[in-house]
Amino acid sequence: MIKIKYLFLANLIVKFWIGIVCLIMALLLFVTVHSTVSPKYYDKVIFDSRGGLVYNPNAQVPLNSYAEYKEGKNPNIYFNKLTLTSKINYVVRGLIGSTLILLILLEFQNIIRSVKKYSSFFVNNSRYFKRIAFYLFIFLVYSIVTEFLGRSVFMKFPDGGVQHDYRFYRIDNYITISLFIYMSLVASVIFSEGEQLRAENELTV
Amino acid sequence: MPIIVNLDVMIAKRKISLSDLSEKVDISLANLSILKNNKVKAIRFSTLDSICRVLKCQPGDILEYTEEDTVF
Repeated sequence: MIKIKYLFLANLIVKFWIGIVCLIMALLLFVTVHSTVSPKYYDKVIFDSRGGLVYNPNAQVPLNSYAEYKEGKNPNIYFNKLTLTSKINYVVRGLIGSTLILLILLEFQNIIRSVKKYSSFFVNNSRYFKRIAFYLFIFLVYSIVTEFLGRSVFMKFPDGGVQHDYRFYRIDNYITISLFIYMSLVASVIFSEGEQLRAENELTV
Repeated sequence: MPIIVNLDVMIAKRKISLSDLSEKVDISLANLSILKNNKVKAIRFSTLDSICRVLKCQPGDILEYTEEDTVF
């Protein structure tokens, strides 16, 4: 009974986060397209110091020329002032990261399903954990490489443009992800051994 | 596997069917079948106790150890 309750709760949490990630991916695409078509709605959407997109209701009105920007009147980088290439670059990076997170969540969902339907030590559970470790590793490498290469955005004005590179190494995140990779691999070994013991137990009369 | 299960021999001696034995020892027919065919990995003492009680025999009558042939 308790196992069923925990599985139900876990399934709910995973589905919730899958929904959130899908929503973020959809929003990212929508904002990119809509800001190109109707940029005036995005005058308050700027990049923060770490290169993340934020909505700041107190942000100043965007500048209209490179000359004004050079004077230092408004240092903000506006999403609706970016070139299409910059926007696409930003969205693609966001989608790649979100896709990896989605794949990890789907593997968790597979684990919950197989535990519900078959057994805790079902043969595929070990594989699911290995895949989670693999996706986490790809995500870690991707995060480090994109920071190292710099996340460039190019804001264009009629009389020129400005490029800004964001680099923010999130060491604590990298350590956390590395720990999760290690834990997934250990879980994979444990579940593989558990499956062997289960099979042996089934052949015990 | 060097342990051989001679359950079929005892069943024939006692003139009892596998399904009857299954009912009397309260073990599924499938499990008894894999036991008879030497497919089991392990046997519980409780199972051995039930079988020996019903077949009125000793564990040695059901389980036999043979040396594995080594091939060079």
